Amino acid sequence: MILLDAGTTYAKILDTETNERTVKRVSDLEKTFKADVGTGHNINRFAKHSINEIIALANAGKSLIEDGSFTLLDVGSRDAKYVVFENGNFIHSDWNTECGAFTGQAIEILGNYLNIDYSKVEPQKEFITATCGLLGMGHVFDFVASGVEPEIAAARLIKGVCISMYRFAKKPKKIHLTGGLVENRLFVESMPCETVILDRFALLEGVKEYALNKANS
Amino acid sequence: MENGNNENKNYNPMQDMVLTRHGFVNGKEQSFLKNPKDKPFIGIIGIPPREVMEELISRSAIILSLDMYKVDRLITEPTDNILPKAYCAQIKRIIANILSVTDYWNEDVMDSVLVGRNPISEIIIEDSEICRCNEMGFVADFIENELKIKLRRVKNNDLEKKGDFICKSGIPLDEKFGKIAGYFYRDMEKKKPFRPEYVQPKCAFWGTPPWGDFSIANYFPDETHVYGWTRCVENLTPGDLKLELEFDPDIPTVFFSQSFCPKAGLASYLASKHPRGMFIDMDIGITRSTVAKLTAFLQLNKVI
Ligand code: SF4
Repeated sequence: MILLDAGTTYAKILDTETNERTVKRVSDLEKTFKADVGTGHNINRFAKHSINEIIALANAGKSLIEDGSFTLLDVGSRDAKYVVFENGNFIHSDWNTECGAFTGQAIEILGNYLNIDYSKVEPQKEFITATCGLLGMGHVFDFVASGVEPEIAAARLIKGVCISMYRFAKKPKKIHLTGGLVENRLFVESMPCETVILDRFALLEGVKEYALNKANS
Repeated sequence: MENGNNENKNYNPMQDMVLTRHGFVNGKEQSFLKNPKDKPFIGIIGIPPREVMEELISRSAIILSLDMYKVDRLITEPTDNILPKAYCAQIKRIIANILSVTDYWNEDVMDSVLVGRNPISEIIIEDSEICRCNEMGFVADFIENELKIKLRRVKNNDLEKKGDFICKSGIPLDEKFGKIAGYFYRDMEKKKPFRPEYVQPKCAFWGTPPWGDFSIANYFPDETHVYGWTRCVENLTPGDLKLELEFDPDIPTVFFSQSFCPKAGLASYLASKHPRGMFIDMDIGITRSTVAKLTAFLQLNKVI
């Protein structure tokens, strides 16, 4: 079975037979590509069956995290979503697509534009309140114009994004993280709480759960 | 319809209907409104107090709810030059409704039954602050200054509780909204109250009616209890903040508000207090992400 998580920018593909995992830009997917099951913003164009992204995230958490009580946060390029379980029971979930959106994409664009290698930048204590990616970028450019080093200004934005994500997920003691931003060391280290990293293929684990349950039912 | 046994699940009782003192009427039946020349034709906004409504009935007034008129057609273009884009959908609806039933803006969008020929002689606006938002003050100014329609501002401090039978019944959620609006008129006319049977809830909806898109109701099971301001309306105590703040902590609850509504603060605060609550807001038309959020919430809570 071919499973697909088609986000706004990247497509994550899992072949369940060979266990091969691939990441591509969504824009590089062939027009004729059709996964068997998938999830994500762009899924309807590229899969025969689609599953709700929050359900996929919840399934992923249940299958990948041993402890029945957890917060799993997925920060992608366009949006963020989380689920909270306690003793195996669903408690909360939320998905921000409007306010606070495009933060992941903003961080990537900013890194490219200012030529920053995030893995070499130290987390900052000060932060820029990032209501959304666009406003956040505006603040970074203001700081740079006022003489702050571009790396420091960008790191302050990332700290701000982390704080708003932490608040969004209802300030847990420990966050399990997935999504594109988990590969950004600065982002992970700027989180104001303990973090556990699941890789960016976690959502596909949730899709797999769903596909297997469907096949067995 | 009265017993709520609606066999066609896709039927929307409020589609293309007009709410008047005679209940929801549709299509040709509206013709009874055609020539109310001998009777005062009064628009109301909000829930005026009993005393005011009784006075209108004694004058045999034709009463048109400007909140609910054309419930399912939220056409906001006429408000484009009056209100900013980012504004409460319900205020837009009220203004569009007023424009459509007066000479001010005419015929082509709304049907011509009411347009122009029977201009509203008076608008009564319930402006009790706590019941609604203080945007009503702006609507009132607009009516007075721009439309020059006679305006009466009233406050509703009614405290006599009428109960929440519809809110706690098993009729489909979209019908609940319609019946609650109609209940107000039934009560005024002293008709037998509509009291559907209590149903054990699977989940709850808290908030104002989803003015921007009633189709959101279709995602909820029939066993959805209603709380918040909508419940206050059935109780005929729209200003009862204590009642509005109530929720049932034992059932998963969706706390809803219109986008740009001050009640959003209350809804998101209560959602954070509720052990299994979720806040959602919506402008005009439900978005794909709101549907996904809502259905995931209901599925993960094993409601649907
Ligand atoms: S939905 Fe909120 S902002 Fe809109 S009219 Fe009602 S109370 Fe006011």
